[in-house]
Amino acid sequence: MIIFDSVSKTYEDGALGLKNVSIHIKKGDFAFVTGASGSGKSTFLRLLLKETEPDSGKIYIDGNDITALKPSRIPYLRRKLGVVFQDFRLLPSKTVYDNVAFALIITQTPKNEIKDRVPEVLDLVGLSHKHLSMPDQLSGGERQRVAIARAIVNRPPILLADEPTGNLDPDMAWEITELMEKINKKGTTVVAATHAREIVDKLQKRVITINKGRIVRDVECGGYGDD
Amino acid sequence: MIKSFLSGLSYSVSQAVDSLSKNKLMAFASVVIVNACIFAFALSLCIIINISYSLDKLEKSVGIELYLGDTPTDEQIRSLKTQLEKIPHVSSVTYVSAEEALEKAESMWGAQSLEGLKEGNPFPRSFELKVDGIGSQKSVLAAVEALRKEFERVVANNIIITETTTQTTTLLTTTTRETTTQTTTSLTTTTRSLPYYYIKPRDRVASGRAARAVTTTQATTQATTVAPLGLPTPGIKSEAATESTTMYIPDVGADGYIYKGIEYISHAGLLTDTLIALDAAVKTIAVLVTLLLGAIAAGIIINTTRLTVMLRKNEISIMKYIGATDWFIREPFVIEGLLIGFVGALLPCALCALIYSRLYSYFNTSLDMLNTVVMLKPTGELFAVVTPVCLLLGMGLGAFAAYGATRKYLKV
Ligand SMILES: Nc1ncnc2c1ncn2[C@@H]1O[C@H](COP(=O)(O)OP(=O)(O)OP(=O)(O)O)[C@@H](O)[C@H]1O
Ligand SMILES: [Mg+2]
Repeated sequence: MIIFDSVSKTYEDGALGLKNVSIHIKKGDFAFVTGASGSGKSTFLRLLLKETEPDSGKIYIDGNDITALKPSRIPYLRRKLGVVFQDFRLLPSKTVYDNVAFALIITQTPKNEIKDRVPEVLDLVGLSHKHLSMPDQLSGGERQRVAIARAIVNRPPILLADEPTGNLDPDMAWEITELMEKINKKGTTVVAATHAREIVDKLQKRVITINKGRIVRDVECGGYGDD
Repeated sequence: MIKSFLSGLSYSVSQAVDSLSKNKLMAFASVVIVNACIFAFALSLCIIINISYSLDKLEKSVGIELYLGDTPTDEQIRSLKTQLEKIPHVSSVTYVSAEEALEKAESMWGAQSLEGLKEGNPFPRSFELKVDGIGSQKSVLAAVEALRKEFERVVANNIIITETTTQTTTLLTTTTRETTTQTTTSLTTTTRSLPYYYIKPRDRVASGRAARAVTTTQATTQATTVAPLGLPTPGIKSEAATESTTMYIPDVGADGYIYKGIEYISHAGLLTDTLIALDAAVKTIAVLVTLLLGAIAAGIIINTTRLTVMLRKNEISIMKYIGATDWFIREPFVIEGLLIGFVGALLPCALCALIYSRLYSYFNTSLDMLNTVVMLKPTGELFAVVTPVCLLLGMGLGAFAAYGATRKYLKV
């Protein structure tokens, strides 16, 4: 599903992003990416989103080399990658419903299909009753659930999350994690960068640890580790 | 394909309207700023168009008049006309018979004041030449001078310039009738730019029809009134008329030869030179001022739009993350820019038109005298140009600025 082949990335200012990273994340995996601050976790996700380009190496999604993708095709790549951030990134002027529907509007989904799919996915994240609320009327956990709903409403094969629980208290964080696991069980490949030791330990999924741009640990089924 | 394009467009339009209504203050500020810029631009455009309009009118009124002696026969004059018409850059040649000249003078000064002239018509036959542009005046004059020499030879030997006759025999009679209306309208402007209306010297009037001319009553007593040039004016009573007429003295060639064919050529040489110089200067300044104001308007509109886009850069980056295409993100902004540009340009144009139409009617009623110098373009005609230009500027800039401003934030 996702393959990194000897990928290196150094930023313009000389900061090291990734150094010779090769990894294979299979379809249906739930993978945590862990590591100290500044180790390169976000860089890993950013490369997948084609928000930044590697200096060398190749990245494949579904067998396609995305490093060779034309800029005009980037939007279509991103439609296959649901993405969730620590700061939720909802449109503050739109209701919960409209925030989710927006992802379908931009892919020019027919209106009646939008009407079916938005309530469906809001039900999945448990926010049906809040569909008319504005983002600023929601708790952090609820906002993140809206963001997840928006990320998966297009039914992308992959869900990327960059510290999805970073702004949440432990209870909320666990709820979000459970939600992501639920989505993963439905067949979506999930890659989540995180600092949340308890969650990683509790879930016992694949853990990829990065240190100074290199992969230093990769376990199929484990905890946060000891660093 | 088309259906999805249309649904995309309807999304963009509703999105643009939505965002305008949500950011009312910003939209209002943008419109006001665009209003102010376009207003200044429209105003300068009005002034510039009017200046060159006045100049053009003035330039068109500057013609060349050829006063003919008594010697040439009608046939010779006919052939002269065709010769004149062949001169490059001559747009029209109008023959004015002595009778027509008298009629015109009557219609200007009243039949009464010219009563004494009926019998011995002092007005010469003449040609009025219109030139296609003021810049051609000099070359046409030169050609006319050359023609004059040849015509003189024809007149002196009483021959006809051969090639012309058949096709032009009827010309003189028909065209003069056709052009009468045109001539009378242009006459007003012609005489305004020319201080005098030329008549033949008294002795020559007498030569043909003197006997009857002398029988006139009171008018003859006044006939000795001294005209501005210090020459006696025949039979003209009214003061105004006296001031507006003068005699011409037939031109004299280098060897002392007195022209008998085209006796006198009248043209406003100084006015022509001034107009040529003025025309170039004014048009250069006009273009510069328009460009400058246009550039200032552009700068302000672009910056305002940039600000509105910047305020929504988060929104743009979110759209990028969920896979919106650049055009999909951009379209609502561009339509918003178009809308702001449209409203922003239409209002000042309407205001300008209102002010201008008032000014126009004021100039044309109260200030009739000034009207001869300042020739205002009719409101409708002017704003048929100004409004589209302003709309194009406003909407074009709005759309362009929105396009440019989104570029930066689309690079995620
Ligand atoms: N856009 C950028 N330009 C320059 N340097 C960058 C950029 N983004 C990240 N870096 C640098 O690259 C390195 C890796 O950053 P990255 O964001 O991948 O770390 P991270 O593991 O996500 O850290 P954190 O846990 O704090 O989010 C850091 O040194 C960072 O300063
Ligand atoms: Mg990070």
